[in-house]
Amino acid sequence: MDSKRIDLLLERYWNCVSTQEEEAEIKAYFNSNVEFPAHLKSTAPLFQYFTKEGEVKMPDKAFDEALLEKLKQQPKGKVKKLEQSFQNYMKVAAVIALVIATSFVFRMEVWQDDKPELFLVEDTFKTPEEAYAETKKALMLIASKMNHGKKEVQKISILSKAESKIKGDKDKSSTTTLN
Amino acid sequence: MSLEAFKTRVLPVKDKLFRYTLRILKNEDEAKDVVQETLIKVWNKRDEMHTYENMEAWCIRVARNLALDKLKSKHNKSVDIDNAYNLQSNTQSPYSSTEQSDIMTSVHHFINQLPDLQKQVIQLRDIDGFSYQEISDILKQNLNSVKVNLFRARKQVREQLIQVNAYGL
Repeated sequence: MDSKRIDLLLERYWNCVSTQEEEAEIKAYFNSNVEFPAHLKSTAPLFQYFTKEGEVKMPDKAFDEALLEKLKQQPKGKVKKLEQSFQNYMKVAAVIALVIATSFVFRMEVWQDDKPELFLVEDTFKTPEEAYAETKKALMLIASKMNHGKKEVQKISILSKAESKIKGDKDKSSTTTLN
Repeated sequence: MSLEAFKTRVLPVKDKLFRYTLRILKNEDEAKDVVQETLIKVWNKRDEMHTYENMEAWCIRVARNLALDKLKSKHNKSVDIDNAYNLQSNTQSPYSSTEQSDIMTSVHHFINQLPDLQKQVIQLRDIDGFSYQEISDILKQNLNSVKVNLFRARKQVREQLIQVNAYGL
């Protein structure tokens, strides 16, 4: 190549007005085996470096196989969107679970006192007759127990009568001795 | 898009993605991880692919975002920039190997030392041959900003090359 031509191309190159084709021409010139003029000796390594660096390849031979294997394992379709919707569902599920758990704890803690009322409100028997019979039975049981208790109490009353009698006798005797 | 179509249309971009992410991350393993993540992301969004005019530029933009995220998390782990740089110069770059001349190593360092945006613009334009419009789309910068950054990057590298040539610095 003409030395004037390369000087012109370089001038354009340093001013960033050269085209891609012109830059390729400069690279080709400096990578050829021609003897460069002395004033271009400092510039030559730069373009030789560009060419050599542009030939650098991925060093790993097994890269393609490993990559293609990974690509086959990639889930089909729009992965990100699916993941996002799954996350959203999980968020909703978490909130529902939280509400249920909170209401359960609330029932346990706050409504505990009302529990007996709930039991009272519930019907135990289907017909009033049955209920009446059962109530009667219960009252009879209470009555029998009370009667039984009364007998015992009567025994105590005998004792207390005896005690008061004794006391009364004592009083009498004491008054007689005093007299 | 079928897996076969992906293999022929998208997979060949991997080398460009690798070069670009390597420029940002300066670490081969991390760059490879980002390229893989990028291609998986592109595969998962294959239904939207037809809405992008330039598939290659779109892939690079995805890679850029992932690489910058990675860089951010690296910075959060407070990795010293000088250490990362030394590690790179000792082990990672193809230009640190003995096959490459010292001047090539210098050029590599000059470019890597540029501010991030300038570095990425020079990578995309001078190494991977993207148009200004494509670079503007990838970097989400206006055309003027792309050109200004490219101009500054080229100027800086040129001055350093002249210095090396004149004084052997």
